[in-house]
Amino acid sequence: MTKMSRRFFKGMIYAFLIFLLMLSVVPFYLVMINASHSSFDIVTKLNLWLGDALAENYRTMQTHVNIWRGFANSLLISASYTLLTGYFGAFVAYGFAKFDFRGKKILYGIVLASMMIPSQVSIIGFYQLNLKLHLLNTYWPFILPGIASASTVFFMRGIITQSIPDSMIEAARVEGCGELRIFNRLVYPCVLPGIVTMCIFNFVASWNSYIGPLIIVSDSRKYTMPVMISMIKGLYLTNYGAMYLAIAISVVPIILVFCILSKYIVNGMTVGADK
Amino acid sequence: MRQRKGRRHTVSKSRYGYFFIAPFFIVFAIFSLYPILYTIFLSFQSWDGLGLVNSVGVKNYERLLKDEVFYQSLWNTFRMWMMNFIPQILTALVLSAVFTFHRIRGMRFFRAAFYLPNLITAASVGLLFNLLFDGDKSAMNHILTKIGLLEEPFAFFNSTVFASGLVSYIQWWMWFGYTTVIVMAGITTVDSGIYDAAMVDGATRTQTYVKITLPMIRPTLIYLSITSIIGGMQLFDVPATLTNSLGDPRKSILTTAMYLYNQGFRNHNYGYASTVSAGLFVIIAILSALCMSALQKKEREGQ
Amino acid sequence: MKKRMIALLMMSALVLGTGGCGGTGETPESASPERGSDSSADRQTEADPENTGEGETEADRSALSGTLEVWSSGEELGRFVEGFQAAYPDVTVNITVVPNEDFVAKLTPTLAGGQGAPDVFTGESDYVKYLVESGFWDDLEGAPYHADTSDMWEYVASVGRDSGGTLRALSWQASPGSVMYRRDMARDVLGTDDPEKVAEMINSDEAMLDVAARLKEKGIKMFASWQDILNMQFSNRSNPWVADNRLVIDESMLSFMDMAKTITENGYDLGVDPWAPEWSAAVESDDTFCYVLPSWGYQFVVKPSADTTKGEWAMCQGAVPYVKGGTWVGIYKDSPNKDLAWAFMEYCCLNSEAQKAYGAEYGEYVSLKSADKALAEQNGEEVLGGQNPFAFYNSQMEKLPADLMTAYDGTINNAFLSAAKDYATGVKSKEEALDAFKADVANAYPEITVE
Repeated sequence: MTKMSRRFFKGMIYAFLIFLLMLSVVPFYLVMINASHSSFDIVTKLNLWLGDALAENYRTMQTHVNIWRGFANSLLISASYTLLTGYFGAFVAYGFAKFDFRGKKILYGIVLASMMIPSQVSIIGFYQLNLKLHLLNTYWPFILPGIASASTVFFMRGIITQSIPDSMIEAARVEGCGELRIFNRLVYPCVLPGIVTMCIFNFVASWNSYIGPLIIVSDSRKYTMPVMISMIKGLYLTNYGAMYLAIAISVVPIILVFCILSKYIVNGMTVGADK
Repeated sequence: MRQRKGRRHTVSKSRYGYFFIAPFFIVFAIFSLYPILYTIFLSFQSWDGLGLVNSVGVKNYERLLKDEVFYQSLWNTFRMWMMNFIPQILTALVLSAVFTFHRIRGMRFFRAAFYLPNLITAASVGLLFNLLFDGDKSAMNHILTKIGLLEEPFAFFNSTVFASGLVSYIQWWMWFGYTTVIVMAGITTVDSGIYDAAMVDGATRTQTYVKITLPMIRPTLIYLSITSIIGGMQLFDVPATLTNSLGDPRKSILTTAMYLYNQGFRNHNYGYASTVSAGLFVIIAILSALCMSALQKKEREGQ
Repeated sequence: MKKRMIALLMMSALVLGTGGCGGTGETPESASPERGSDSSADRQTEADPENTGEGETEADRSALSGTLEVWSSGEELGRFVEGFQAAYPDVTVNITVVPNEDFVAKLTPTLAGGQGAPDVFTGESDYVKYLVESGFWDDLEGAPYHADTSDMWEYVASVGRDSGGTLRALSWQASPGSVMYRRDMARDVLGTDDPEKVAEMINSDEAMLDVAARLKEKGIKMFASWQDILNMQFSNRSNPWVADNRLVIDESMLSFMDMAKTITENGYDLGVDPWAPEWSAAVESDDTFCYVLPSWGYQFVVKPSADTTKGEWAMCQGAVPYVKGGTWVGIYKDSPNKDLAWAFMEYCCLNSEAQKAYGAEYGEYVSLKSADKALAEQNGEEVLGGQNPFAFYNSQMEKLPADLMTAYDGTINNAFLSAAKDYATGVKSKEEALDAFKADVANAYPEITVE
C-alpha cells in the first residue's frame, strides 16, 4: 500500500467510526435535550437545543415519585447483584471448565436451559414463591439470583477455557495449594478483565429490570428507577418532559459506572504471555 | 479417577467440580425451580387469573400446535433476530479487527461510545423511536421531506417492512457495541505472540484475523451466538413499546414473548400463555442446539 | 486479593444494609392479618358493624385510624386524599399508582396468592367488568356498607354491578362524551360557533362527513383521528360485543368501518393513532377541527395543551350522545381495613360536597348528580370560551342508553380498531378485515363462539 492509499484507508476507517459514533450518540442527545423541554414541545417539534422547562419537569417528576430514592434503591440492588455475579459467575464456571465429573454435560445443559425460559408468565410463580419465602417487598429476590447468573457462567467458562492452561493449575497443585486457594489466588485474577466485562453487562441488566420489581415490590418508597419512570408516564401520557428527565437521570449513573469499569477491560492483558 | 485423552490431561479431583458448581444449583433450586414447575403446571390448566384453576389436560398443547398466530410470531421473532444479528456480528468483527490491528486514536472513547446504546432501557428506546417516526408531522418525516428524499409524509408504522426493520435496527443499535467489547475481550485473552509470529511469516492482517484470531476465539463467538439467539427469541420490550403492543402493523412485529404476555395478562388466559411459554422454550432449545452443533462441527472439521 | 477483600467487605456491608431496610417480612405495609397490631383502634370500630355507613357521627369519624393501601391506575384518586385526611385525621392513605398497562399484571398475583393485596383498588373501563365478575370486590350494598346510589348517575352504578346484580364497584367520575371543536374554524367554515347549531350540522354520520368535506376545502382536517369516533359509536350499538357467549358485530360497528375508510381516503384526519404525540399536539394546530372524546379527553388532552387556543374550544353533541371509559374502584373482599376503605370510598364516590370541591378544582365530571348540577351553576371554562362543561355533560347523561360493557371489551376494541385500520388504509378488503378480526377474537377468547 502506498502512503497515499494508506492515508485514505485510515481516513475511511475514521469516517466509518465517526458515523457509528453519531448513530450511537444521537438518540441519547435527543433524550437529554427533551428532558429540558415541555411535554408539548416534545410532541410538536424536533428539539435540538436546550429548552427552558428543566425546572418545571423536575418539579412534575418529583410530585409523582421521589426519583433520588429510586436511584438509591436501584443502586443498592444492582451493585449487590453485580458483585455476586462477579464472584460466583467465575466460581461456577471454573467448576465446569476445569473439572470433569459425572453428569457434567447434563448439569451444564441445565445452566444453559435456564436462560431459555421466557420470563413473562413465570412472574406469577415467582411471586408465589417469594410470598411463601416471606421475601415480598424486599430486594432479596433480585440480589440473590446473582449467584446463579447463567450467562456469566457461560461466558466465563469460555474465558477460563481460553486463557487458563491446565498446566498452570497442575503446577499449583503440585506445590500443595488447595483448590479454593488456586481459584482465588491464581485463576480469578487472571480472568478479571472478563469478569469486569460481564459485571458491566450485569449491572445494566439489573438496573433496567422492570417487571420483577414492579410485581414484587409494593411499597412505593422501595420502587426502583424503571418502575418510577413508568409511573411518571401517567395514564394520559401528558408528562413526556418529566419522563425524559427521569430517563436521563437513570442513564447517567450507568454511563459513569461504565466509564470507570471500562478501564479494566482495556487491552494489554495478554494473560498467557505473562507466565 | 484419572482419565487420559491423548496428550491432554483432564484435571481430576472431580469432587471439587461439584463443590464449585454447587452455589449455582442451590440458588437455582430456590429461586428458579418453583416458577418453572408452576408454569409447566399452569400449561395444563385453564385459568383466568382470578377464578378457579381447571385442568384441561393436553388441550392447550393441541391448540398450540394448530395456532397460526404462534407460528407467525415465531417467524417474526426469528426474522427480526436474523436481521439484527448478522449485521451486528459483522460490525463487531470488523470493528474488533480495526481496533486490534490499527492504532486508532481515541479507541477507548469510540468503544465506550458504541457501548452506550446498551445502557438505556429498551422500553425508553421504543418510546423515543416512536416519537421520532410516528405520524405525518413526525421528526423523521419532517427531515426527510425537507431534504427531498420523500415527497409526502410516509406512514412509517403502517408498513410491515419498515416496522420490522426498525425493530431489527434498534436491536442492532443497542447491541453492536456490547458485541464488539466481548469480541475484543476474547481477543485480548489470546496470546498475541501467535499472530505476531504469523504476520512475521508474511500473512496479511486480514488473513491473520480470519484464519487465526477468529478460530482462537471460538468459545467467545459461540457465547455470542447462543446468547444472542436466546435473547433474540425472547424479544419483548422494544416491539412492545414501539407501536401498540399488539404487534401492529398487522402483527408484523408481534414476537412470541409479546403474544404470550397478551394471552396471559390481557386476555386472561394464563393457562394457554404458559403453554406458549413452554412451546417457546422448546423452540429456543432446538435453535440453540442447532447453532451450537453447527459452530462446533466447524471446529472439528478445522482440526 | 485486595480487590477481593474490598469486594467481600462491600458485599457484607450491603447485605447487612438490606437486612436493615425491611429485609424481613415485617414491614407495616404488608397486608397480612397481623397488620392490625399497629391500630388497635380500628379493631374497636370493626366490632361495631351496624354503625358504619351513612349514620356516622363525629365520634365515629375520629375513632377511625390506621393505614389504608390503595392501588390506582391513574392519578385522580390521589387528589381526594388531602380532603379525606382533613376529615379523617387519623387515617393514613397510601396510594400506589401502577401504570395501567401493568395494572392487571401486578394485581393478579396478589389476589391469586391471597397476600399483599391492597384494601382498595381501581379498575379501568377496559377490564372493569372482568374485575367486577371475579368477585374480589366486596358487595357494597350489603353490610357494613349499605351504599345508596340514588344520587349517582345510573350508568356509573350499573357498570359496577355484576351479572347477578350485586353492586361491587363505584366511581367518582362519569365519562360522557362530546365533540370538542374549534370555534374559530367553525365560524370560518360553518358560519357559526354556537354549540346548538353546530350539533345540528353534525347530527348523523352523513352530516358529519358533509361537514368534513366543507372543512377539507379550506384545508382543515376535521378529525384528529378517525379512531376517536369509535368512542362515540360504542354507545350507538344495540348489542354488546358478546351476548350468550357469542360474538356480535353490531350494525353500527360495520358502518363505523365504512366511515373510517371514507375519512382516510379523503384525508379528513391526521392519519395518526390516538395518543400519538402528533395527535396530542393537534390541540394547538391550525388545521385540525375536532376531537371526539369523553370527559377525560377535555381534562387531559385539550385543556392542558390549549395555550393560544384558549377560548376557542367548545363542546357539542355529535351524531349520538355517548359515554366511554372511566375508572371504577372497589374494596378488596378480604381486606382487614374495610371500615377505612369504605370511609375513603364513600368520600370519593358518594360525598357530594367532596365531589363538588373536586370538580371545581380539577374540572373533572363527577359521578353524583347533585354535585354535577351544582357545578353546572358555576362559571364556565376559559378554554371553552365560557361554556360550562358540567351543564353540557348533564344534558348528555340524561340521554344515555344502557351499559353494554363486557369483560372482553378491551381486547375486542383493540382488535377491531386494528382491522378497521387495515380496511381504511386499503390494505385489506372489508371481508378480509372482518375475518381477521374474528380470528383475533377467537384466538384471544376460545370460549366465545365466533361465526
